[in-house]
Amino acid sequence: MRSKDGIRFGLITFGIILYLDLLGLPLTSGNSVTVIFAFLIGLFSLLFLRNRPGQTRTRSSTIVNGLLIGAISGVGLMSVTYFFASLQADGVRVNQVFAQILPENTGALTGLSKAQVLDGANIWPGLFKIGLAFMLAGFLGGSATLLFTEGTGGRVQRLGGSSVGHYVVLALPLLFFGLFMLLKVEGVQLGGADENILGLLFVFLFISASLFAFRDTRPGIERKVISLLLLALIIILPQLTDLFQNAVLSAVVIFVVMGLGLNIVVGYAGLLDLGYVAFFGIGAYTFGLLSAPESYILVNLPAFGGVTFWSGLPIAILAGVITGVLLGIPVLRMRGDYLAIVTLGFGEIIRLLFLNLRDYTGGPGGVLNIPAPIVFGIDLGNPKGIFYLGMIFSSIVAFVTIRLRDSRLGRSWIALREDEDVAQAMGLNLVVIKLLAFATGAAFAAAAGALYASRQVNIFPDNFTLLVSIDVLSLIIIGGLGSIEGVILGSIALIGLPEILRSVNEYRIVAFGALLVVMMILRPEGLLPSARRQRELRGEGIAEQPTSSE
Amino acid sequence: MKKNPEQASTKRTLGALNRRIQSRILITAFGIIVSILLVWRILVVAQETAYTPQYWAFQVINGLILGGVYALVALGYTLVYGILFMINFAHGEVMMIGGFAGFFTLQLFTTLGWTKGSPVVAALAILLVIIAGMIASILIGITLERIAYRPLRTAPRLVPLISAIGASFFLQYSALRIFGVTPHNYRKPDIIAGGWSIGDTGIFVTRTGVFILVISILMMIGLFIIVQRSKMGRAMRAVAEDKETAALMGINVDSVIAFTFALGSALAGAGGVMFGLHNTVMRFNTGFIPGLKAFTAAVLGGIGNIPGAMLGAVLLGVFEALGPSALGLPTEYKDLIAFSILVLVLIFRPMGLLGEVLAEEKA
Repeated sequence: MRSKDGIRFGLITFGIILYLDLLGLPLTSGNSVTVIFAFLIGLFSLLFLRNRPGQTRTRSSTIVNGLLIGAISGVGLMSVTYFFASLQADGVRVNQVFAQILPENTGALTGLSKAQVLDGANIWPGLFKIGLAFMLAGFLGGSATLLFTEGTGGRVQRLGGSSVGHYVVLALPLLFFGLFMLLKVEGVQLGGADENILGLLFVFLFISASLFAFRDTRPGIERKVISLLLLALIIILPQLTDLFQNAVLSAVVIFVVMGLGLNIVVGYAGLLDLGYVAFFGIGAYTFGLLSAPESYILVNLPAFGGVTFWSGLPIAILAGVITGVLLGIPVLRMRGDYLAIVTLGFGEIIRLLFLNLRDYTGGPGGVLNIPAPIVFGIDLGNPKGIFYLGMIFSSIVAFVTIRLRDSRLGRSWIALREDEDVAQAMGLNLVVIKLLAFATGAAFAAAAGALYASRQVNIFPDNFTLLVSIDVLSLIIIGGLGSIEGVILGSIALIGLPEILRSVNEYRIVAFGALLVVMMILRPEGLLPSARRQRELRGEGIAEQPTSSE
Repeated sequence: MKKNPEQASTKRTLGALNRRIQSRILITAFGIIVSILLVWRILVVAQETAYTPQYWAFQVINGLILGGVYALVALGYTLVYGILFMINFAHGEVMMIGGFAGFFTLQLFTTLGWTKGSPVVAALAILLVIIAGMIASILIGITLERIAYRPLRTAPRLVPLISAIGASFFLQYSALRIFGVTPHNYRKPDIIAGGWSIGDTGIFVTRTGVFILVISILMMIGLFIIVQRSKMGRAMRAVAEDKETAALMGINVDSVIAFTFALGSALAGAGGVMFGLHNTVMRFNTGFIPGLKAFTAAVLGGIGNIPGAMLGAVLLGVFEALGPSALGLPTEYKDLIAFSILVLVLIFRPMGLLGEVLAEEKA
């Protein structure tokens, strides 16, 4: 009956598969690519053909549509691959147009070697394999929708609310911690050569599960016991992790500090700042220039002698606050989109200045040999030390954030975010609260920058590109704007996970972009949203027109 | 002693008015100081370095050409902003895709030998290259609207903006993967290579430049006719004014918005091809900085205002071409000049040069 749907979804699926092919997925995944593609097709037909409320499809039409999706994308990919293969057999270098379509790409899809593709070997068996696999996948995906009747989703949801679910959630972090410890036991062989990567994954899962467990605890004795237990585990964690794991985790905590700062600016005050990296860079460069032995200041002022981490940190924070206020003043009158672009320009200006003011900042050569922080004679200039220090920083920042959020100032920020005009009419001094938001965010970023500088030892202008701003913004959005646990979860997902998924790292930014769009459409409140934000975006708010655009 | 409440409220209103006047005065004073500093700097530099008039004329022409390209892209921002009140952050990437499509079409025609053929064939080939760029951009623009923006039309304003940022990065890094890291160099067809010198003034005008200016002006005239004269243009203006009422009048709002995106993307695609011909290099991030600058141009002229975008773009192009020499800075600072213009405009005249005062409320 409704085969039109099948054709439409088939074409969409084919578009996605073609996009992945051009992106070079066959090149990176080798011969398993057909399986991956087939799995994706199954998934797409499941998603496209699932019963939406108010829509009924008959059993046969669903299966037919599933088959259609598989057939269309299969025939599509077959013809594209045949086209490329015949070009390659003729000696045309397709990769001059599509960089990833090397003979190896065609080979991976059709199960031939590079030389066979170039010789023009018979690729039809390989092509038919693709077609069959895709049709099967489409058929299975279509049939699988029949299993998902309406009740299933509800049943999964209820599990979280039941008491069994509650204790499962509480026990999960302990389970992951146990798995992590299991790897440490002599003689246990799990993951083989990648044991430290597997360990890192368990650490991430442990921390993420802790966040969910903490959120799920009931106030009172249960919350106290659980949080003390988790806290103790997290405090001993850096002693158990190895060098590599600590290095990754120290990067994660630095981004947590930054994320908490941006969370104040974007999540609470609703000022979309895309130049946040500027403050991070200013913190790092201030500390670097004041402490590195070959920096402009120390070379020309030998008597000054440089600062230690602890005397440099307040100066870096102060520099961050001053630039935060200086940026804040001109953009006071702007809203939303304008603010985003201006701050983006500001971030780029700062990076260009680091790069072009060669005499002062060292230009592309950067600032070298920045000293490590030292506490009571203990040198913290190693991943473990930085991890501890980062945890302390983020705890302080998180504490300050919570206190600010519940203060008069925090409520003014939220009022500002909700409606600027109404906030002003209620007697709030917009100038002061906006500048305070910028200054607080900048202070946190500058502190993170100083820590980053001593973690990296050498810093360069390229460390402070727009991508850092986008990373931080994405992590707070994915975690959930305005939510502190969300920032931690977001940092693990965006900064930590790519270290585990090395091969995916190449697609990282592409995936970020897609993820941001998908998140905004499906779950704009983030993975671990703050309660207020969730109500706002899930409740009646979403059906309303934004008043400011009228 | 009890104050008369009416008096108190009058006093408060006066106080607020006073504060507003004070901030006006403060901003004006700041503006005067900035202008004095700029003029002083320009005079000092002008005395130190004596550039010839030919040099300045050459720079102005360069600026006009660049302005023509910016205008095409800026119009896309303005069209979309005029209707949806959102900044299509990925618009620079739409332009980049157009540039790539144009590049490959041009490669194809060069291989076929069309660009070396008779002038008519070569001119036709260039026209087809531009059309290819426009078609690719339209496809991307419409897909973008359908996937990333349409579902979010009623969401709070931050949400579509973040989605746009995501789309921008998605397109940029997809292009990086698909087309590779190596820069793609446009090979100019002979028909638009070289140039003329005007009389014996020593001013040299490139054919590419003239070509770009002519095409941009033609496109802008075309856009003007579409928006002002056609039925679709009338529908666009109606939707920009009030979506609900327009829908009640029987206008299909969705298709009008899609058409607006298509129109803006077509111009951006042409702009991308032109940018490629002008700069000769196409990279995955080629669209980003020109996109920001075109946005600056749109803001400078008054976002949402079509003639404003053209004026702003031309002014920005000229400022950018003249700025580094006039201020005695190395040319690496030309991006800095454009961003500074953006910030200064937003401080002193957020509604832009030709914008309505209303724009301040929407900003």
